[in-house]
Amino acid sequence: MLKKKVISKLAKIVGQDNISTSQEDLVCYSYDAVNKKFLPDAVIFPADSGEISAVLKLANKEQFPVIPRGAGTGFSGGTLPIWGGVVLVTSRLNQIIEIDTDNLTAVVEPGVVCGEFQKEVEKEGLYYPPDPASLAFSTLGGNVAECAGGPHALKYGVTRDYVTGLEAVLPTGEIFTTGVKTMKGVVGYDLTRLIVGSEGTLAIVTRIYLRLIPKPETTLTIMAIFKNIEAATRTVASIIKGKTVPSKLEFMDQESIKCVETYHNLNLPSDTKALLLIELDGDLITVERQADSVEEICREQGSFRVDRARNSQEAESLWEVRQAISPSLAQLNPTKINEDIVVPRSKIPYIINQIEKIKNNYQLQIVSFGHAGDGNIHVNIMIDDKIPGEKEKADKATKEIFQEVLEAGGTLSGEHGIGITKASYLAMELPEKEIELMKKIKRVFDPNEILNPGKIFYGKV
Amino acid sequence: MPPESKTFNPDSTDNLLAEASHCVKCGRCLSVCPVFRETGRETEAARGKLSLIESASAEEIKTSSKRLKEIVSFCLLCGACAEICPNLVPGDAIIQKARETFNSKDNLSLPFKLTLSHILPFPARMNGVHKAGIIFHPLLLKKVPSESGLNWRFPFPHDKKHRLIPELTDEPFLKKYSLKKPPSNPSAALFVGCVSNYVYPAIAEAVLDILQHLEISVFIPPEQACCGLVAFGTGITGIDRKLAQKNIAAFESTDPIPIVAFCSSCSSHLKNYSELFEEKEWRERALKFSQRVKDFSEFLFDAGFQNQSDLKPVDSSRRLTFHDPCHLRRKQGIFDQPRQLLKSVKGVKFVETGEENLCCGSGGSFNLSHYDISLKIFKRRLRSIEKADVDTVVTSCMGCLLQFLDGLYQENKAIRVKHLAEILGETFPR
Ligand SMILES: Cc1cc2nc3c(=O)[nH]c(=O)nc-3n(C[C@H](O)[C@H](O)[C@H](O)COP(=O)(O)OP(=O)(O)OC[C@H]3O[C@@H](n4cnc5c(N)ncnc54)[C@H](O)[C@@H]3O)c2cc1C
Ligand code: SF4
Ligand code: SF4
Repeated sequence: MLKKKVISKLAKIVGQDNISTSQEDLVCYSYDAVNKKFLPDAVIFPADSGEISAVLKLANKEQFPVIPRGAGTGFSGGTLPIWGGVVLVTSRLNQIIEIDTDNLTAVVEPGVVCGEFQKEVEKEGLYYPPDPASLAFSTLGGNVAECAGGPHALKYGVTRDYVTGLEAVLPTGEIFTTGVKTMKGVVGYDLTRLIVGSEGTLAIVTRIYLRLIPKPETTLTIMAIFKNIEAATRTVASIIKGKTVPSKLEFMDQESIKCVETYHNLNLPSDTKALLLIELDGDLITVERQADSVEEICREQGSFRVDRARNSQEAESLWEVRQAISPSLAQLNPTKINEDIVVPRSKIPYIINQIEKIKNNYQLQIVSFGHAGDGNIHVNIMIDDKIPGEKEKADKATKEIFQEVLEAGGTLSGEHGIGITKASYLAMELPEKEIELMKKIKRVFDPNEILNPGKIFYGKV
Repeated sequence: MPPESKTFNPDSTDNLLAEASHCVKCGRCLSVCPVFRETGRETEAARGKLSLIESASAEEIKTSSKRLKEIVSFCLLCGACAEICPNLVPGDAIIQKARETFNSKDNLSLPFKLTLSHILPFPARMNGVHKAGIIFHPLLLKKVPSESGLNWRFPFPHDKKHRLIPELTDEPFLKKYSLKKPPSNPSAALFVGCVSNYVYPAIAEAVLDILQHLEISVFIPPEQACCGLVAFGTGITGIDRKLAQKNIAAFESTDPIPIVAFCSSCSSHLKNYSELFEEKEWRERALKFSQRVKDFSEFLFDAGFQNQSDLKPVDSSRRLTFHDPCHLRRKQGIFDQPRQLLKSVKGVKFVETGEENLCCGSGGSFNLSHYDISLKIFKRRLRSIEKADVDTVVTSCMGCLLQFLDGLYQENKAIRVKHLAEILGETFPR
């Protein structure tokens, strides 16, 4: 609980209209896409880095947690106020400050929604490739904090690859900048990269310097459907091996197709067991040539129907369907345990196979889909946690899946981050020494542990 | 007088409110909620409201809380959230139900309660009220708490801001028309709706002329009342049902000819009447009624208006667009018909104004209780229209029409807004 005095100080900093402490408002800031509930003590909507700095100084003095929040669409609980405190929403820092068409760079505030920024950039003939499935509603600040990525990662990389510099506020209140506004820069440690992906635990980002690329001349979308899952995963491996790098290469299994079809009917044959959505981009001639070769690989590997989107609307609607999968899975069971494992791409058929085995062993509903092209698969264990024993079963299965992933040379999270949902598995992947080093870094940035405490590392650092 | 409607059944309410828990908090609806897009506050999007409704249903939050009511009032019931939700959560329907459940009647001001329960359902009294100007009287409305969402859609003279307020007509359309002799063998029955009846009888007249031009003989049941959508939207239990019963009874003698409604909000709500009743008899009568309802554009399209070759060019407009009312495109799935009708008009170019299906910000009573945000939502819609260099916006919902009239006036734009019937009415000699 915050003291009355503290609340009135906060109100003085951000203004009475930009703080809420009523129970009703707090409920609306108690969750993210993990769908767990933790009530904060207050929600604030600061206007700029100056106000954020004042809030953090107060937090250090009065010892209360501050939890940055973008759109609250995180998949690892990053913005949940698990120990109470103040949720700091970036919705008022929502200006695109500059799109520099001479230098192909942009400067934005963290509350700008990713997809809206992309639209503005594309109006200038430029391109910002990172494309999490949540792009229409997640913020660039949240994308930076989680180092979000999407289908484009395969060819273009993830958020990290486009951030050249940051303005941020330290947990102790100092405003600082990192990085450069140029294409290159090696002066000192790369603090930019440290903060990107730090899940709001090291600093609050208040300005983001981004690099852009020219917009590809054209894009083309292909959908290939398969009667068995192995054929689909083999196709992915063959395409990669064939030295064509699609701009997107996404995979869906039967269950995910079924769920998303209730939202948007794709008119697929009922014996469809797996589906690949592939996008190629570049100049017209190359794209056509690559499309022919990709289609041939799909057929060779056993796809029984390969369709090309006839126009951009058709393509867009296919990608819209792809973006709707994750939430639509709740139709199967109310609780989703959502993993986003990554394996070397050649190991995809293997890991899918192992997951299939684990699924049968535990008699669990496990749905897989994701960025097959870069080896990042979203594995979702769908349970009804009101049924006794389900949660424990799912936890065991999760652990086994993680073991398989690590043995295959993979990693536990490709893009959603650790937050609270995976904190207890951190030691499975990282050696003790490395975790200790990370905790030391956290202590240097945040000596009083007030910024988004309890995340990444289990408990206090 | 129709029998009493069935009292509110907590079980069925629980079912709909329980659907709030199907929201997985993914946040997709944030991207389309017109209110959230302007304010950026989670409380304004479906996701926030649904989580609050869940908490209130679980009694973690007091259902009598003023802030709860205020938060559920921040919604246009536009349905954009439901349309995009991958889990098919009917956000707008749940929010409507929450208003009904949490807005206990004790919170309403007495005069407003009286108006809603004793005047609206009875056209004769409504006329009396209209004559005396009572319903629009500032004193009556001042007492309505803004958060209850209980305001009437008509333009009010009490507004502090200089809102454009169209004058009330001297003689309501229905009253004037009731003096005429009904046709012996009608092929359509017309539902008029409040705004046209009391504010824009010229639109109703244009509709009649168009139908006449197509040689469709029209009967206008004099006993018809307000469709009840605003009462339904604000969650005033019972009154919306009473109005529905009144209308069902008024149109029963003309069964099975189609019931044509030229305000898309009305047609949408009339099509939903059966959902209002649980009791078998009324459910069945309502279903029969609803199945006969056609939106004006749908009806004209089926009647082949667009295929006439001898239409004269329209010279009041150069470039026009159709603004899709949420109640037409989302709730009735009607998109193509008004476009085909407008494209058949000679002398004007039809243009689209954005793929986004933006709401105008009217939202029934929303533009009264939250005028500033409503205007911001309108401005976003206006930007897409200005970009397309349009001189006339055509629509088919009276709420949208009033919103555009005021918004265009506030923004000082030389763009006109017209009802579909007004434009189509110019294509033949009247
Ligand atoms: C349907 C759906 C699909 C998704 N698909 C993808 C996907 O394809 N790829 C992917 O990578 N992710 C995906 N996600 C996860 C999520 O959208 C991303 O992690 C996104 O980057 C979170 O952004 P946000 O604005 O919602 O941040 P929030 O959830 O509000 O916050 C996320 C973290 O960032 C921190 N934070 C937010 N703003 C700042 C700031 N200004 N400074 C410092 N820290 C900050 C928070 O404290 C928190 O730890 C998906 C989520 C959903 C619901
Ligand atoms: S889109 Fe549906 S599931 Fe997602 S937050 Fe909105 S209402 Fe909830
Ligand atoms: S119905 Fe419209 S205004 Fe209401 S929450 Fe849904 S999208 Fe927002």
